Amino acid sequence: MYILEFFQAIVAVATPFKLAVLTSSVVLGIIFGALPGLTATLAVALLSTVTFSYPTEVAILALIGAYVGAVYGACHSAILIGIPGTSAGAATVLDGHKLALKGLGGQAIANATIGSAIGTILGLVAILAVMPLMTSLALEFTSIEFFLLAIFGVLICGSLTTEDLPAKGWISGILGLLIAMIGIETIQGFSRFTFDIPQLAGGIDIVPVILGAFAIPQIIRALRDHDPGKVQMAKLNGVRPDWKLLAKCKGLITRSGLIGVGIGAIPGVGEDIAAWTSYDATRRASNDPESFGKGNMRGVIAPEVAANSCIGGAIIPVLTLAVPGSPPAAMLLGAMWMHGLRPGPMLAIETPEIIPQMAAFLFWAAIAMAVCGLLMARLSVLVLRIPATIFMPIVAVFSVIGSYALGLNVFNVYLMFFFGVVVFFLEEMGYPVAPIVIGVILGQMADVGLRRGLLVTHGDLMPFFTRPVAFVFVLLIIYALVGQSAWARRLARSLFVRLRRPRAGTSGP
Amino acid sequence: MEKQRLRKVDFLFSLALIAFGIVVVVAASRMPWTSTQTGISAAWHLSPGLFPALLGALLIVFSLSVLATAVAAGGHRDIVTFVRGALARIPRNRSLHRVLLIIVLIGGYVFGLVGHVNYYVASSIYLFMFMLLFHKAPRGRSTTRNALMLLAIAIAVPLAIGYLFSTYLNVPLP
Repeated sequence: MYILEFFQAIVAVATPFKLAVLTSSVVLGIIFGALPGLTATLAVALLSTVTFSYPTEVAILALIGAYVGAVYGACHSAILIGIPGTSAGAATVLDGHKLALKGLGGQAIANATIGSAIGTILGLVAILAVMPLMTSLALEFTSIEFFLLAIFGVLICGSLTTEDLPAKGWISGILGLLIAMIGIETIQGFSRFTFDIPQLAGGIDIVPVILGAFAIPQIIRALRDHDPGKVQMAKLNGVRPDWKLLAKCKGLITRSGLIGVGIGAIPGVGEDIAAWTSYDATRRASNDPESFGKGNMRGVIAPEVAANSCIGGAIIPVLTLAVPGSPPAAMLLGAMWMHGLRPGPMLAIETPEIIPQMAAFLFWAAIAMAVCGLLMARLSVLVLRIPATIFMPIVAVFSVIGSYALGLNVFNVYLMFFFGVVVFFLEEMGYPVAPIVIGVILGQMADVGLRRGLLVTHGDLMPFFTRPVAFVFVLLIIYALVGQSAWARRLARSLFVRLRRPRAGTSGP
Repeated sequence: MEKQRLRKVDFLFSLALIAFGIVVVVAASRMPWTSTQTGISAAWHLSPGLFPALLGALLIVFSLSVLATAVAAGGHRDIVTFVRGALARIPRNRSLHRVLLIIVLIGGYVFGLVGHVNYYVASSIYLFMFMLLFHKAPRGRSTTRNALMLLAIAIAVPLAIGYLFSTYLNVPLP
């Protein structure tokens, strides 16, 4: 555990400049989270280019602030107008907006704020508790395990983020991995898929891919169907948390926190799935499940706690394995690379101060989010009145500057636009975007891991199955591939029935 | 997209993905497999084409799975009629027109203005055009007044963003 270092880092962060940067980032994140169409990933991506010239510590602090703020900010629009600012707030709409229509909007936002702050802190506790174990486990990984981990990450992300066929999620992941193949590869220096375009020789940067993939489709979707009219805003009333209820929800908060951390640690599976899973678990565990969806405050607290604890969960694999737990965490990983950090098993050895620092950043971000969130509830009412026809075109201006700022290269702006349009059409056909991003991030790890692994084994594939951790990953990959298919479930069910039948026969008269 | 229509699109797009997968496998097979670029012999497992070939093969397999689902759901039936109908609906498809207009506006900004024209001028032209085409004046407000308001926003926003980015954040503008 990094307890002492964590408290030292908390004190070290508490300088006026750093707290000012953090507060600004949290406010920016809350606005991004609250405005439908703008996402946490976009907030982190834009801020990563803006803070590129900042010292590493300040830049990462700003990104964490924006990440926490944006995941939380989604609840403002979810509660007030019944439209989630980001997918992380989708589960909050069900009960949050009903409460707002009953005149309890302010209390719902206040409870969601405190729930989110507690969730963020639960996430940082998980980082401090799990990191030493995860780091020692990650140090046992060889190239083979990293290759299998990357493949598993892309496939499980595809399985869990698709809304249609699992194969569509896997195809998205494969397309992401293929994008990562563009450029001069590191082992032989061979130029792959560059089509003699010199700007492609260095490979594709993650920033234009993320900015394009998360900004352009949102702009198109927000404005294509109809002229968005004036939003129907519910009344806010008093923004005061119900402390008695929050105290009664200790079990719910703990369960939601654990769900959030667990789901966050799964590669590429983000806050939205954590929120939905937690909402469903809370409804099932409740004495009055029928009250959910009609304005139950627990239906607001549970998804908010899970969504924000998911941040800590998503950061754990970033730091230990260089595998992002969610799309915003993918951008965070990209930003850490840009600042010369090397997340992965060696991070705890090369720059051990990063781990408690990251937890301290989350701690201050949770505090800043709680304060700003409660104060900004009334500001959100004003922000949410800005028509999409005004702010969506402005998002494109930000995306252009963000893409250009990295490397001062107009070619990145072209790439941003290209990926944005392609991702829009892919999403329209049911191909999710998260596996593409995870694929782009993990492509190099998978490629180099496979070839280095085979170099060590002289081309022998058996160690991919005989090494214990590798074998676990092979099983997980098989699960990711067949776990959701109907025939696999039928097979498992028939096997289960067959196994039970003889026992039933022997116990009979 | 409704399910039946989606399966027809799946049928067509999975065929395109299979073709793309084949192109990837062929391109990967043409990369050095038994030697490096400098002519030194190298083992197959170090080939730069190994992982792309694997990805191409997986793309084909997964696309075949989507194709099989699409065919099982009848996505292949009357596919020519479906394509003709979709093409015939294009002139009346307002949603598609708006999508294409947004793409053209952002594409024009990215390819036609950024890097060619001063950032402030480029962004103001783009923002004004975009907002003028998509933002409707609220009831009771004249169109001229609305256009002037949009012009003010289109000039003010790039100035504010440019000032913030170049002065405070040290980010150069395109």
